[in-house]
Amino acid sequence: MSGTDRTPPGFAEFVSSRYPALTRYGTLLTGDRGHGEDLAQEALVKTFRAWRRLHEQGDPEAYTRRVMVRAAWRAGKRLWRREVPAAAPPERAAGGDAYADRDTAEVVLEALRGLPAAQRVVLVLRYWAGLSEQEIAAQLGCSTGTVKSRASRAIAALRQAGGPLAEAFTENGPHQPVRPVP
Amino acid sequence: MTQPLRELLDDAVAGVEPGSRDPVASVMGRHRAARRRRVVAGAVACVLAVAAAGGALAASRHTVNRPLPPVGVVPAEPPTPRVVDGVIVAGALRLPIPDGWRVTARGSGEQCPPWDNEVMIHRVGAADCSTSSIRVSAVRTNAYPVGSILEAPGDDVFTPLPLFTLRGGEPALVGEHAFTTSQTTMVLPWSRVEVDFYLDGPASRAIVDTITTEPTGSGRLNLPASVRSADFTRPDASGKFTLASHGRITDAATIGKVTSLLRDQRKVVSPEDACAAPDDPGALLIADAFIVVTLGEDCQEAFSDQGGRVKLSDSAVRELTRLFGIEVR
Repeated sequence: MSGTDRTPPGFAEFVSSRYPALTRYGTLLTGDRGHGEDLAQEALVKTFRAWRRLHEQGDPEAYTRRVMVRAAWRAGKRLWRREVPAAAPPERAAGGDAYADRDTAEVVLEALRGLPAAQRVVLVLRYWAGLSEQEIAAQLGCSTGTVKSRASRAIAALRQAGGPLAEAFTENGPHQPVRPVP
Repeated sequence: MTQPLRELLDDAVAGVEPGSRDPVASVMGRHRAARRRRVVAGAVACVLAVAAAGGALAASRHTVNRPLPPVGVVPAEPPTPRVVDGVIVAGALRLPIPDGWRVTARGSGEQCPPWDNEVMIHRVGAADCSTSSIRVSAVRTNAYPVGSILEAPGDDVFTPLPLFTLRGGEPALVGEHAFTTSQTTMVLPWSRVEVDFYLDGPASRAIVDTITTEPTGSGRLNLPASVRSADFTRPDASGKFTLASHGRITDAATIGKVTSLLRDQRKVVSPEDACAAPDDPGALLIADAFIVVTLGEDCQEAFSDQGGRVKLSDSAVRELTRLFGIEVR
C-alpha cells in the first residue's frame, strides 16, 4: 500500500463498525445484496477521500449514505455509454402463486429489484428512512413533483405485482413514514 | 399481511451479511483499482480504435471513386492532462487556470488530493475543496453518461443529454441539471476527457466560457461496422419525449438503411461552423455509437461520440424518423 493509501486515523474503525449497516442500506437501495455492497464500497471510497474534513467536522455515516443515495438515483437517471438497451423486456414468471414456499425477505427484495432505480430510491427514502417529500427532493436535487410521481408509480407497480409489499400498501394504505432509529 | 412497510423492509435485509470479510481492505483495494483502471482503459481503447480505423478503411475502399470526406475518429488512448503555461491541456481542451486559483499539488496534505492522470485546481483560501475545485481527467473507462432515462407510461424512453459546442468547436455533453447545482460534469467524448466542476452553477458556467478547444474528431459519422439493434428517440411536435416518439429496430435490412443513411451524410461540420447548443431540441440515436441529433431551427446536425459531425437535411431526419416507425405529431 502506498503512502497516500494509508488509512487515516478513525477511518478503518468507521468502516469496520458501519459496514454491515451500510451494506444493508445499499441492499434496500438496489434490491440486491451484491449491488448493495458494491454501492457501499464505492461510497466509502469517496468517504475516504473526504475523510479529513468529515472526521473532524462532519458526519461520515450521513455523508456516506447521501453518496449512496445519489449514486443509486443517478444510476436510474442516466443512460451510460456501456449500456445497450435490451431488445426485449425480461420475461416475467408465469402465473400461479409465485410466493408459495419462498422466504418473505427474498420476495420483498425481488419486488424492490423489479422497480426502476429512481422509484426504488424514492420508496426507500420515503417509507423506510421516513423523509418528507421536500427532504427527498432536496437530497436528490429534483422537484417534489418528481418525488411524488416516482413514489406513486412505485406503489402502483408494487400493487400490480402483488406480494407482501403490495399487501402492506393495499390493506392499510401507505403507512405514515417513521424515521428510523439511528 | 399487516406489517408496516418499514418493518418489512427491515426484515428483508436483517439477514444480509456483507460478503467482504475485510471491508477496509476491500475499500482501499477499490480505491487503488480506480487508479489502475485508467491504464487498462487505455489498452482497451487502443484495440477499439484500431478496429474502428479498420472499419473506416474498409468503408473508404468501397467508396474509392466518391470524394467522401474522412470519417471522424477519436484518439486511441485518453490524454494525460497537464498544465502548460497556466493552461490545463487535455485532448482538445484548453482551460486557463483562473486568477486566484492554483494547481493542487500531489501529497501536499490537501483535503481532496488529485488522482493519478488528473489535474486538479482549487480556489486559493477556500475552506471546502468540495465546493471550490475543478478536476480535469481522462475518461477513466469507456463509460460515461450519454443520455437520460425518462420514465414514461409503459416503458422508459432514452433522451439525449444537453450538447454544448465549446469555443473552438469541440462538442461536450453535460448532465440534465448542469450549471444549476454544486457539481457539474462535462464530458468531451472526442477528447476522452471529463471535467468535473465542484462549484456553484454560475461560477462553473463562467469558467466554461473561458475554455477554448482545438477539435480533432471532425469528419463523417463514425459508426461500428456491425450493429445489431438501434434506437431512436426524438421529441414530438410539442418538444416532449413520449413512448410514441421512440422507435427500436432489430431487423438487419432496416438497420442497414439507417447506417447507410448516416454514413452517407457528407456535409461535415467544421469546428467553426458547429452550432449545437444545450437549449436546442435534440434527438438520440443509439447504434452502438451514440449519436446526438440537434434539431434547432437554425442548427440541424448529428454528432457521434465515436467521431464525426455532419449537417442533417430535413429529408434525412424525416427518413430516419420513418425508418424507426415514429409518427411525429
